[in-house]
Amino acid sequence: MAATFPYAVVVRLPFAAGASVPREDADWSDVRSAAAGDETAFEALVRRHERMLFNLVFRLLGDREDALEAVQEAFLRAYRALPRFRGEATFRTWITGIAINVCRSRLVGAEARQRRSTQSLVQRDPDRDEDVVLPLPDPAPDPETQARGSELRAALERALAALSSEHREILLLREMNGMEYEELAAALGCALGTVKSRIARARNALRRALEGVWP
Amino acid sequence: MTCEEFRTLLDDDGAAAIPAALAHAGSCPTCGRALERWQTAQRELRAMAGEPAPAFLTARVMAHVRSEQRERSQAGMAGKHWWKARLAPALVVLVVASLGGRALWQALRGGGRVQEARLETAAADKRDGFLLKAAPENRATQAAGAAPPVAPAPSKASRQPAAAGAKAKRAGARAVSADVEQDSAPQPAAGAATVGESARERPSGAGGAVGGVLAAAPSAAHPAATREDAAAAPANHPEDKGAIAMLDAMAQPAETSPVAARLTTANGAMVLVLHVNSAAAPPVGSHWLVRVGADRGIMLGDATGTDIGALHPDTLAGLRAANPPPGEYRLSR
Repeated sequence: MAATFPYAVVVRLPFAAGASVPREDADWSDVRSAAAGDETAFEALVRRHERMLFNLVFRLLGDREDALEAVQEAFLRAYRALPRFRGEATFRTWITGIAINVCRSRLVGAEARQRRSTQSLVQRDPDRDEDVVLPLPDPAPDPETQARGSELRAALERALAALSSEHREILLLREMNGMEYEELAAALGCALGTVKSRIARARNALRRALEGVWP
Repeated sequence: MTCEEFRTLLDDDGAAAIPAALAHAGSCPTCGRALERWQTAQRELRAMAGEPAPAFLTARVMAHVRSEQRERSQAGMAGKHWWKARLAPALVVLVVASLGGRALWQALRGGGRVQEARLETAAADKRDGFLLKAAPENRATQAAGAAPPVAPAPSKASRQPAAAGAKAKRAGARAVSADVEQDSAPQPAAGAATVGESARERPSGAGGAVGGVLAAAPSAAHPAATREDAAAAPANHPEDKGAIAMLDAMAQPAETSPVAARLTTANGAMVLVLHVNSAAAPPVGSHWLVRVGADRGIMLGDATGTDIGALHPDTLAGLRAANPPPGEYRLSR
């Protein structure tokens, strides 16, 4: 069954114009230099954020090679857009927003849809007119997962893969990358209230998914 | 607190911070297990963030960034200096046409001289009342002040060394002004024969010149007929050097189309992709060897390992920019 996306996928600019004072953090000077054409400064930014971005994108897309390309694309888009980046948010939040957009575009692409076959655990049963929790897919763990030697990790990754992309992305941003609600709102381009309610729904979905695989 | 209230708190991430919720978890095994499971999941999720990114990710990103930067600057240059881009081919055409024209002119003049010499020889024969023993086609040669003809020269005048060709040129020049003095002033036979052969093969003197430098090269003025001939000849004929360069340039059209060159490990795993001009990439079906030392020094060799770094500075620069880790790689299209 094809993946379902309960939200409209729109390519949004992570930050609308109109805000204000640049957030001068550790990245800021590199951001300015890179915007002026300093490749070394941009390389420093890449080195600083590649791990965070790759782990996020890998879990969102579920395919290592896809993730590599997506991270590459996100950094390239950022490089092109750097001269227009005015620092309304941190570079980390900004690049995360770009990566999320890249992932969304890829997930709705026909190729990605064919490659992946995730489905929400909670489906509407039209016959009984109620929600049913589908059994979790139980693929043999790949060698990397085995190497990690963690059944918990394998179970968690299976549970994450079974979530909707919307829930997966907000959970990863919040729980894995430790982003604050405001940062999430900026990166995802939605209101703070939406972020809070979406996180609660995502946690609930993950908890329910974990109950099946992680007694 | 009810189990339902506890789970709502758990979803809001507040269960662990509220004493009443903790108390409920302590008394309800199901909710206690749910809290424990959730906290473990949170720890695992945070641990995922610490997993290293794949090696070469930075290198791959930066290779693309630099490639884009290069394309952008090239596009910028093309925009700024569009007139140069248009003028360059026109200049090339002009240079080729002028060289070809010059060669044609020289060939015509050379042929004319030989014809002139033949006429003079015939007139002298008539005047003196005797016929030369040499074959008619060699009389011109003899008129040029040469010794009696030797064994026929190779079919291409250019097979003679350039020095001989130069002498032949001198001999040809003498033929214009010389009276018939074939018995005096010993001249190098080979050179004289060369002129004769050239004249015989191209009676009009223009046949070889039509079509520009490449065709003009075998004329009397240009002893080198082919690139091999020109290269084989000692470089004491200044026009040969130009001919070699021109023949090389014409034989190898400039390759400037961008191609993707893949840097792979010995077992075929792709490391990165370099976007370079085709001239800076290995030929299709072949590969180059890349060795990156511990000090990140890069050696670029052909398939046999011969260092070709000096021949391909752009490739080396691209590899340095990509900064692959120490090791041995293959570069191929």
